[in-house]
Amino acid sequence: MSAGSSAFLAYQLIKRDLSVRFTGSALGLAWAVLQPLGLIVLYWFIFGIMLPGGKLGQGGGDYVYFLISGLLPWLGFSEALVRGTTSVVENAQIVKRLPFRSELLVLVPSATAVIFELVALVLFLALLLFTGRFQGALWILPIAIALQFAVQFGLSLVLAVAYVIFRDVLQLLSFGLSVLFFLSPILFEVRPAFEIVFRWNPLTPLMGFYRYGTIGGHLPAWGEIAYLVGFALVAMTIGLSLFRRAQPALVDAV
Amino acid sequence: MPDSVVYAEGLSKTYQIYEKPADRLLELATLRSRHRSFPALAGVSFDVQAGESLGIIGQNGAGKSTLLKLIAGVAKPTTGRLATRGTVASILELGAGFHPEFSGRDNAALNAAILGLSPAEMRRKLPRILEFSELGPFLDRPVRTYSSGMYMRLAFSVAVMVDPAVLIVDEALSVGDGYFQKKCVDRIRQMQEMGSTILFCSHSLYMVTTLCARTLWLDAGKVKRIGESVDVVHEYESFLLERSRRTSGEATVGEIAGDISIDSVEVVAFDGSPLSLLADDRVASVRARVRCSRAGQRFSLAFAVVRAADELRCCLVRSAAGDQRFEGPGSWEVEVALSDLRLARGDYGVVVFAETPDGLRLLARRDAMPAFRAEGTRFEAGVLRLPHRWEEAREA
Repeated sequence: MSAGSSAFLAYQLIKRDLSVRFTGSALGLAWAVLQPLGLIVLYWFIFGIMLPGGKLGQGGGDYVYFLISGLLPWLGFSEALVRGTTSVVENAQIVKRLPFRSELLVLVPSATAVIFELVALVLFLALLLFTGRFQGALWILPIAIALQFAVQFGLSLVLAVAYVIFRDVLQLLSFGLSVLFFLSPILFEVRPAFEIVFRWNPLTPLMGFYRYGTIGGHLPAWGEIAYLVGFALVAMTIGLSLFRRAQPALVDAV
Repeated sequence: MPDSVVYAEGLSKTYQIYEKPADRLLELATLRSRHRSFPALAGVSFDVQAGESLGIIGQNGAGKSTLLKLIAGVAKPTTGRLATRGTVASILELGAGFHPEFSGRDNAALNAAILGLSPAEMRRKLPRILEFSELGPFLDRPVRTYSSGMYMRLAFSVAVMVDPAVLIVDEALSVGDGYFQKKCVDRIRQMQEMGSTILFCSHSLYMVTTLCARTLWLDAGKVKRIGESVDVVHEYESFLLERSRRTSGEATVGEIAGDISIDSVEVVAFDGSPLSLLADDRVASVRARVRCSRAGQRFSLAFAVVRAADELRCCLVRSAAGDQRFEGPGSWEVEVALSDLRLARGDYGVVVFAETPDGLRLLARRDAMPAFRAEGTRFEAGVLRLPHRWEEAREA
């Protein structure tokens, strides 16, 4: 299969995924906005108002903006991982019957998650501009998105292979994601005393990028950036080579 | 092999079977084997020339679908060499990977894209695919609302209209109405004429013989025979027959009601000797011994001649309805003389039924399967052998 027709197939698969995501539900595509919105309101109420407000994020009174700038990429990331993990098994009918590069099936959830995230980011940027709080550097956002995509696609490839063979992976993943949620600077800013707890997490500099691009602040330290870029490259390389090597076995086992 | 489109040499495929998912984990952890190996294919060699059609037959579990998957490039062989020429091999099987929530149109487009169509080809071929399916307004409805026949229509349309170098048909023509089946067969013939290579896997031996010049017979993962379809199919039929003879012995599905039993059924020739080969006089007599223990039980008898390969009932003779020929208690020997049995080549059996006089309820049954063989040329197909004469005149 040529690169051109692979790209065309990826396009078809993404189109299918986008339109199938919310078919059958009455509100349809509106859910793509309503779900994050509901979570934002919930977290904002609990962590911004109920608990001593304003102390968790940067700059005092703008906790809700701080929250959104971290939550949007997190939602995209976790959705990509969960759906990417199950993608090969869910499409077993296609994998078992049609000859094609099935890593495209894993790519699709990563891509659609980024597309939905982009829509949400644009709305968020509009809100920031409207309220006059936009202080970010837009140029960093494409870089952040590309890095996020590489990390989640690479991890998804590994998880998808593992899930075909061990269905326990999904249990592990949902547990792992709830831990990771609290070990990432989403609801709060990392206090210097506890930096060591968050340093291993590539999402820490990633969140820094998104915040730098939307609500402003400082860029992550160079060491952190290098770690994130390295992590993304390694995840993609290992993911792709593992998947290619495992693919014949997947067809038999799925 | 210069002209081979498919070339297989010593092809094997072994599946690893784990009893429980945990076994796989334990095997990884302890490095001690916890699986069974199942050889689905073992040392299969053959080749298919460009433009040739190869039939693939064999019993369930013989490895037919595994072989097709390897050729289609979906699965990889464990050992052996497999070379295929040409880019697209489309495999046609029931449930060809459609998404149930998606419309027929979108599924067709996606399937075609998976088979490797470029955007330009898609623009050209998608309308032809949709038109061929004749699904009309249903194309915009989700595939989950389709009947299995409509599903097959869509799958077949995609598989044949993408113009694959190799078309693989796996037992797909068995559903769908007669009209569309004929359309499919016509299309396959058209593709044959255009030089496509076709691998046709089916339990319909008639279809295999008519569509394919050569046939490969797989048995327990190995090539049992490969050669001219009429010969291979005939051998396969004999094999199936032999197997049913072994398992069923000479007869029997005994009593149903308990009061009546048919104790023996035999087929004899004109002179009264047991008949194993239908002679040129085309005469056979069926003899049955029937016993009835219950007083006042009325019944009548029916005799059927059945083709052994597929249990097709070629003819059934019964005494006229309402004609209460027999009334228990008692025992009888009954003989029905069948004359002018114009049966085509094959093996045939005889079934005797005892039924209520109105013919509505079965009281007892006994099979003699297979009972005799009818001779003929290997080019014959069907049940009847009709006297015929060819006449032809060249028109000016």
